Amino acid sequence: MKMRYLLTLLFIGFFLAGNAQEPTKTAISSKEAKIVDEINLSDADIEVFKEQTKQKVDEFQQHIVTIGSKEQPAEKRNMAEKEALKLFFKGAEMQTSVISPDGSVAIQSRPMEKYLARLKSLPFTAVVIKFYDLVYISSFTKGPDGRYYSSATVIQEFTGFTGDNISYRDVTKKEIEIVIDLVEDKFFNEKKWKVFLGNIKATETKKV
Amino acid sequence: MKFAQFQYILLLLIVFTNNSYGQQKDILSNTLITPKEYYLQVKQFGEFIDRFNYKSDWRGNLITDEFKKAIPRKNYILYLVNNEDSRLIDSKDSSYRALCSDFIAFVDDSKNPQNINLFSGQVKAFVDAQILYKGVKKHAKFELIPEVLPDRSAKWVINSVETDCFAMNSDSLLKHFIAPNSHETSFINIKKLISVSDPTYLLSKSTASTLLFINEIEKKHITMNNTEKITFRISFTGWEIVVEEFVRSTNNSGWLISDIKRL
Repeated sequence: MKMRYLLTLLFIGFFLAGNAQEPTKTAISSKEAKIVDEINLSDADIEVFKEQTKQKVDEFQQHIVTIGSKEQPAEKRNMAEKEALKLFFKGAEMQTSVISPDGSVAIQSRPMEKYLARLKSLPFTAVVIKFYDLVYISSFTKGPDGRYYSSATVIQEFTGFTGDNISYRDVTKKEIEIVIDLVEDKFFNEKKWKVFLGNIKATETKKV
Repeated sequence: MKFAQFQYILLLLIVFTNNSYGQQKDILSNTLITPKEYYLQVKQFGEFIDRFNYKSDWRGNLITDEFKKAIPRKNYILYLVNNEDSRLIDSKDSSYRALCSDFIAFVDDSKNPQNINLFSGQVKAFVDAQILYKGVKKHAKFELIPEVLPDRSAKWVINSVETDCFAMNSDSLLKHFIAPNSHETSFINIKKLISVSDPTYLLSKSTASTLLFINEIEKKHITMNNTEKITFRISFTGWEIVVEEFVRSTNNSGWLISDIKRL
């Protein structure tokens, strides 16, 4: 039995060592030009899109942290709100679902502008928003409009303080629609794939 | 079963001891190490498909030979079944447990392994939505199917809509129909379509319901509120499984198999 556990630990060591290596980076600029003419995505193209998506999601998470933080100056929070909105397709909505103690689920949809504005004015003296390091991005599928669609999952931990006491804390899973669109870069006079965020479905997974 | 438990512990050990990955990817200063249940949780339906197809591990990475050695496919699929289903722990009736085992053996057949392809016609999505019909709160159930276009792009299309908005008039149902022997007379009476007061009575229940729903949408009598529940039905030769989202803070959560049926 001891032997089996030793082998298990040895296996874990090998497993982690194998996964600790960073993936090879693809030269994004040359790939972008190639992608334009392709219908089907290769694994390498998908990796490029996934990397770009992750950067965009990270950017959104950073803005959320700034908007929610009451310690930050109002100017900085307003700027973060504006910058966060630029990441989205026009008309994107945030759908939140909250589970009541009786098991019923309350669902509410708000335009992204209203969601971000509300985040700035929550009734807490201090707010701390943190994200887990896991970002799951699904594969990309071409839509009839030529754009590529995917979704990313992030998990957020929210803590609201009243004075020095924690008055509210929850963990929310956010599913973010990802749209990759070919947009014209007028400066370089070329078309480039650009990642946009779309609707977000937020599900409260637990109250801490 | 003991071996399956051992592998489950192994899976948890891998998750528990894997802090280095999170630190490498720590881009945000406000980033926390992800608790193990969120790695094991099936966060997206696409992730369910990838795990079912034995394509991706719990991190979303391609399954390696090492992973295959540690967790065979049949055990990996077992983690995709809702383990809080009362039928799995019923001491008096083991029929659902036996059915699960049979299904997993069918999927993991080395000569003919089964996979899920979202765009092959195997998958149907059912969406329960809240709507407002003429200002009154009602429910609608949409059936959606993926459709692939000639340029190899894809989209979901609404196949049918069922609602509690419309009721068929029973007198009209007795009056307007295509007779059961019509196929012997080349469906001559299909021309009733232009003579009946409401041709929807000649349609199948689901087509009539869908058509009425679309007509009411056009008249702006219907407002769409929220989607409340999504269920996926996935068919295989001789089998059908139902996949639903289980929102709970356990290792066995997210998109999981809620039912298995032998057809």
